[in-house]
Amino acid sequence: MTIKCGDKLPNVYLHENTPDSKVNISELAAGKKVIIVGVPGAFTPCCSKDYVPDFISDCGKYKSKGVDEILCISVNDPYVMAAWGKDLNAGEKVRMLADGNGAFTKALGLEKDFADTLGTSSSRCKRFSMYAEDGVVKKLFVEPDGHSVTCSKSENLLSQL
Amino acid sequence: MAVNPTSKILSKVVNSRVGLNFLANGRKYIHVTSAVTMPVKSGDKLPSVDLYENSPASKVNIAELTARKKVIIFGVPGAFTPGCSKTHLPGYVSDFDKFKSKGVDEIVCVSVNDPFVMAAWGKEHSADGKVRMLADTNGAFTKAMDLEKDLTGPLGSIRCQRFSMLVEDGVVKTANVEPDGTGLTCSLSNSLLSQL
Repeated sequence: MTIKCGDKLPNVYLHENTPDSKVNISELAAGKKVIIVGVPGAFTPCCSKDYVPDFISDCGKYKSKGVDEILCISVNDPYVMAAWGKDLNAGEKVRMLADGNGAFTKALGLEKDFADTLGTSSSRCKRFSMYAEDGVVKKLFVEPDGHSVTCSKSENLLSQL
Repeated sequence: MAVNPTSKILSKVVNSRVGLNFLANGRKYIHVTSAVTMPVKSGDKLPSVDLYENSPASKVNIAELTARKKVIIFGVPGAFTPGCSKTHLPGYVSDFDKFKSKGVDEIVCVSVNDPFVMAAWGKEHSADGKVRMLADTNGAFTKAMDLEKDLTGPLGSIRCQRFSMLVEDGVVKTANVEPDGTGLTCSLSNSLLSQL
């Protein structure tokens, strides 16, 4: 089943910086306004060049609209996510959360086979962006082909808030 | 189980672990566990497996790469992980000239990561021109070498045990596999250098 507006965020753990540092996504989102951005892969050209950087540079604009946190998730391990965040200067602006075994992606129903483009035999996450209030999805943009940068880009999500 | 040690039966256990035990009555018997291949060792030919460099479109066949050359290959559990980043990879980058002076043609680093991650990791450690960062994206090479390590807990997937090896014309001459698969001992560059 694919996540849609009105659904509660799944009760799944992600990891931040190291495998020991667990973050429960529904606990994190409880009582808060949260942006969640999902990408096919850390360090991939498309995700790195503009897509995630736009969310980082738009952080101030999101904050002025009352957003408490911006999260970026990908099916990568926490060391890779932390390194990528450092490379993008995500700092305090976007939290890089690792969905190492794809459990969160699967719970959202947003898995995609990227064998053609990444050569990976295990699924990654479709590109998406969402806005959730108190753990409930209010706005959701999933790229129709799972990887292009169109409806899910920061500029579009911002305009919807 | 008592086994009649004829050559016909023994030929079936060639690739299995075989042990010699004693029954309570003092009778000897040979027991056979299910076939378990040994991790890569000296004398093995490298498998013909594709790895990826910089992007998924850029394939590098490891058997072809090592043909008629002297190549160092070292494997790590994960790009950007602490041990691999602080010690293992940097050691090979900084010892590049020493390896070259011993006739090594190339140094290759392998990990079960995708090529974009491997390229970024190599860039962070100034590996360019010294260590080729080859992605074993789906673990095919790792599996063919019987060097898999289950790191699904900490990293989310099966990864490669830490190892180093010297390969000459596609044949393993020296192989050092960390006893626990992740330690930083026998597979470090200074250790391999001393074996050349």
